[in-house]
Amino acid sequence: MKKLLVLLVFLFSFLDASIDFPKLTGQVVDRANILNEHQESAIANLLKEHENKTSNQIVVVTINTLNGYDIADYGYQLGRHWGIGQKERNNGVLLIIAMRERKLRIEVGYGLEGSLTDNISKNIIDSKIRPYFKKQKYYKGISRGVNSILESIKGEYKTSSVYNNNPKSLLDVEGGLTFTFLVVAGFFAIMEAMAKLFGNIHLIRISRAIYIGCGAGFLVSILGVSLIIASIIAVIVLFISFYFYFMKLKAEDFPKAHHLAGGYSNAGGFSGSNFGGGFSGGGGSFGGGGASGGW
Amino acid sequence: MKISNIVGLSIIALVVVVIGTHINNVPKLDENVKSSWSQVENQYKRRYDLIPNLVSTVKGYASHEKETLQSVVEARAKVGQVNLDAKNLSNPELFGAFNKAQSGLSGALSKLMLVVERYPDLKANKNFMALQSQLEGTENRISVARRDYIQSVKKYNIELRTFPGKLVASVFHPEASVKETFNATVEERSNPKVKF
Repeated sequence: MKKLLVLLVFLFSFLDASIDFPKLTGQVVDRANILNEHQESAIANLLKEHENKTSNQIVVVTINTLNGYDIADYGYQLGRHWGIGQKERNNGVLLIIAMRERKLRIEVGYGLEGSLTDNISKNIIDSKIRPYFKKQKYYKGISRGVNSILESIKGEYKTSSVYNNNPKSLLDVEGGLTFTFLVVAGFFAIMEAMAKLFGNIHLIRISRAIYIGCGAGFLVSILGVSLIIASIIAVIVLFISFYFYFMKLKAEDFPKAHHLAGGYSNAGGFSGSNFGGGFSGGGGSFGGGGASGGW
Repeated sequence: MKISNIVGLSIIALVVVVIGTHINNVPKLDENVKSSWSQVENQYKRRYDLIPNLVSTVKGYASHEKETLQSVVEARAKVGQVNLDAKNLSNPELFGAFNKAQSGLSGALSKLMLVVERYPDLKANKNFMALQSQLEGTENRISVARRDYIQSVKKYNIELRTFPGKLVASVFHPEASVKETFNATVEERSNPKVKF
């Protein structure tokens, strides 16, 4: 039973995640393999240092192909997907290089559009990066480009003690619904305790079914599932546990039931972030700022 | 406790859960729509503000293209006459007029940008190059903002059109009505699904 439910939660949580972008493995994501290890870490260290000083996040991405997508489309969606930049500042920049299409783009987060304007981005592409890319000196082009980007945004933000680098806070995702689940679950948990006091076995069962249902809803909604799916899961779990308690459990089975309830909270482990390399996006957003070019 | 009591109680509980999970959806989604609409407006406004400079720069190099320039100026004037407040997003006529004026301007502008290809001096002009990159960036932002708007309206309309949100909304938010949205271009209709 427990396994089934966990599996159910797990399955539903994947329905939403259909876009398959490359994984954010660090400040340099070299999927097209145009940089050697040494060059990669040189750029990554430069960007790390800049982030420590200013909280701006810059990521260099090289990919083999855009698979038919416009690089501007691809760019802002990737930026949002990774959440590059701090959440409250949206100070992220992506330098995207698509090898097969010979296209590149500087994608600028909302918060840096003022200092790294479209025109400056275009100039960086045309005058700093393109000349080297034409000669296939990719490292040189990227490093010149990155330096110019850093130059233009270095004055914009300072790292302050206020800014925190926590990944998305749990209650931020679909906050209202998550909150509602929690409140309803809490209400019926209290109700169950009261019913226990009065020794009303049916009320105990009903309350427990409801708070487990809502608890499941709460768990899946913090996993970032959409409103509708979370509600559906909550209702399904509610009915399953309802059925379970009425048909399978006798009053003296309570310890077992507690064990079951404990099993759900383990499912919360899925929500942990799993970015490698100790680097993750701060939740910044993108609105299509920046410029594209080719070589 | 009789079985009918249990059924009754569980139905009440279910209703509480359904209402609890949906009661705030309409205002929340409505706020999303409003903020994504203000992005759309901002970006269109930004384009509107860029045009006078662009026109005067092009005029200096391509004075033969009076007609094309004139049509940009006229299309811009039309856009200036149509304002669409976030309150009126449920009004199909106003929305249609807004969309028509903006796409008229898009058409006129893209014609102008085609014409300037014939003027190498103009294309090499620093001022023009800056304007061109700003215009490109703005068009890109417009398409992002439009897509976000389409998505937020879709969520809002689904909430109003499907069960159980429909039921909850009709009781608690009777004034809410389905909102208009852009006819998505092929690109806007689908989120890119990228595979590697």
